[in-house]
Amino acid sequence: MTTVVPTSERAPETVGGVQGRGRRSGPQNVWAYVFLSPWFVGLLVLTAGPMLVSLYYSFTDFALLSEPNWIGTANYERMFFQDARFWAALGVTMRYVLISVPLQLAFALLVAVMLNRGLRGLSVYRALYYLPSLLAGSVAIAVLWRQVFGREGIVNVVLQAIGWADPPSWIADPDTALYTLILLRVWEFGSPMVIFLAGLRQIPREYYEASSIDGAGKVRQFFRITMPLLTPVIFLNVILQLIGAFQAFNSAFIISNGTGGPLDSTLFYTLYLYQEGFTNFRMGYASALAWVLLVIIGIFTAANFLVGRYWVHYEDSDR
Amino acid sequence: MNRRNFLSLGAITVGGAAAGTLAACGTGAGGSTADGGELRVAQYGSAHRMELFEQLFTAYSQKNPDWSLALDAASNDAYLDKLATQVSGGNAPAVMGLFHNAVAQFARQNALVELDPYLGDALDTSTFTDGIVELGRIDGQVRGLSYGDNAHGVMYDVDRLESLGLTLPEPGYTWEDFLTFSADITRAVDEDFYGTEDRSSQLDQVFKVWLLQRGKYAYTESGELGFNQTDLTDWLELWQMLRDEGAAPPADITAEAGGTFDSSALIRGYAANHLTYANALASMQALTPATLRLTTNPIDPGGQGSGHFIRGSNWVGVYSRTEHADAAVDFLDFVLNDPDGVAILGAELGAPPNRELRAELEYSEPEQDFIDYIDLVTDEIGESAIPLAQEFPPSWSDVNTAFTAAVEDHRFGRSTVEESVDRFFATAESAIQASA
Repeated sequence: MTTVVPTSERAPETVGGVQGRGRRSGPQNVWAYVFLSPWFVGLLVLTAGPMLVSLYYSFTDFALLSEPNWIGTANYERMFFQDARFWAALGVTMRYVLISVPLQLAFALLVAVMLNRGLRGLSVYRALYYLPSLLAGSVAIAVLWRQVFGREGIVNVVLQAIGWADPPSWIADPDTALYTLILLRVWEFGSPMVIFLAGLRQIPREYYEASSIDGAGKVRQFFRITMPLLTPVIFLNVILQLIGAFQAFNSAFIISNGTGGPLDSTLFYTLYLYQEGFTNFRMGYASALAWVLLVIIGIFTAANFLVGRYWVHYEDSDR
Repeated sequence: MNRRNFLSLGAITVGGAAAGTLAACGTGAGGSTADGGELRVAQYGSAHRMELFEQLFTAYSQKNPDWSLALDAASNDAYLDKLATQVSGGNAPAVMGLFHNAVAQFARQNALVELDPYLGDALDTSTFTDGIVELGRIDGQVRGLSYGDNAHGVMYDVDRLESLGLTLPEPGYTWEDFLTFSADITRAVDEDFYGTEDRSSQLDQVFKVWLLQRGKYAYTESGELGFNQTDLTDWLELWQMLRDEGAAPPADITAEAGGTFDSSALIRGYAANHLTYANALASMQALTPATLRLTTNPIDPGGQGSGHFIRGSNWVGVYSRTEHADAAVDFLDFVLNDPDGVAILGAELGAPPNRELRAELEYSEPEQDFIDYIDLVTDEIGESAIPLAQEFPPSWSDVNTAFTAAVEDHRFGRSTVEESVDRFFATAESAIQASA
């Protein structure tokens, strides 16, 4: 579930880099590990340990109130062959991931390209556009979203003003509820946008100058220079956002009152996992669900790395 | 699931396991029967309720200076997770407030003390409503008691009714009256407003009452479904008719209401009533300037009774691994039978079970209406109650989910009555089998 944790995992790489370059003496390494120890302890006690325990629980009937009993692969069999809600939740999550991630990244790239044109007050705009990313995961925004897209919400007030007599409640209609969550996700475009901006800054200006001398227009420049040179950054964003989207929880939990409704249309995988574990106390089954999610995310990430070989261009490589 | 949730899940798992080991070591050496110490009391609910508990603690400690009490409070959402984790770790509070649907679950996992040896001497229940103590008998032993009596009911905004020249339906009004009455309200009010909310998807709060009017229970004593395809078909068609006649709102309006008081149709202002448990009255009243009053659910004149019965509202049990079971029971006796204790709690957790003390207390206006309603159900229209173990068999949560899904599918027009009914019985029966 937490296969990629960008901020914290960057720490040991940095140390490795220092070590590799400078071949520093022993005591400095010791101090590095001393300073890293809180992170290592956290990894072992709070992440690795519980993960192993949950792997064990996934083969038991652990129900929180009683001792776990080993039941072999029964949880996994039930999941794949008997549990219709598991497939429903998986379907909802897949749609959410496959629609929200491309939309969000396209929007983030669009805004990044616009901001990269040397606007005055760039940092102000950047901060403004980044703001939703800081807020969007919060409970308050989910509550707000519920109001905005409700039957008497501001969206419908606007729609009525421009002539739609009786717009539906976007939150309460099983056909549209998931799309309000996708929209919320797209609105969180700030962090991929900042990464795109950094990527755009790295592209040497000379390429554009040379191409415009050769007569290339803006559009042609974008597709022939910007996009190819930005592919490593796009790749990074795809991986990060894919994992984030699979793990989305708060928005669906708040907007559907924890039910995944209406008609299970917002029953995210994580929400179903939570219901099984903490509402029905089927911790063994919830653990199995968590491991299947980990495998699914792993497969998606691996597939990206495989496919990435064919479309990601690193400037310093031979390709 | 985000990272923080995952981490806390991990922390709970590891912490629970570690605490379990510690507690396992502790019980061997334990068994002390201290005549004093600290008694932990777990309770869910509002800040106001927590204040009342603090007052109870002060009053109890004045009479029993050797004991100090500590509150283990949590909001409704987080409460059971926390308590179950504490039980898993072997360090749960001695007195555990429990939602009615959790008592049997905790009892089946041997988390609750058998109260039979205490009943009579240590905990006098002779003044309680007949049969109410028996509701907590699970697998042969009484494992839980209710802090207060309760019943199913419907609350109406009587100011709204008055403005339309209508009065609160008298207990005993029929489903036909209900249809006409509700449709009249909808017609009389211009804006999006309906005579009744649509809570047909609530098995426990609404369907159960209608079913009992047919002489049937949701579950049999052995945990099988107690109703058949015809019953559910009739139920779905009844509510389809209420919607078709304009008495109840269409599906998407209903879907906007949540499970909480403040998101109910009545408080959000698009229905005149709320179908729920009667003890919700005071909490609902606090959310609206309109006057709310209780009446029964509609009744089937050709049926087998009113479908109403006295039930427990907020339950409590004693943790099976506490060293202070005697003190815990003594505290409960204070809360339920001591005039001071009963006066502090009032009707906060339901109508006081001790009927002598219940009659002597003074109540606020909505509380008095609630108490009168409970007395009405107890003395006049009530039928024999359903034991908790039968009301909440191991599969109840899955069956509830299947019920809600089937009713909502039909309500949204996604499936025919027949499809919904078939799907419900297939899902529910496999859930019952899986939990057997």
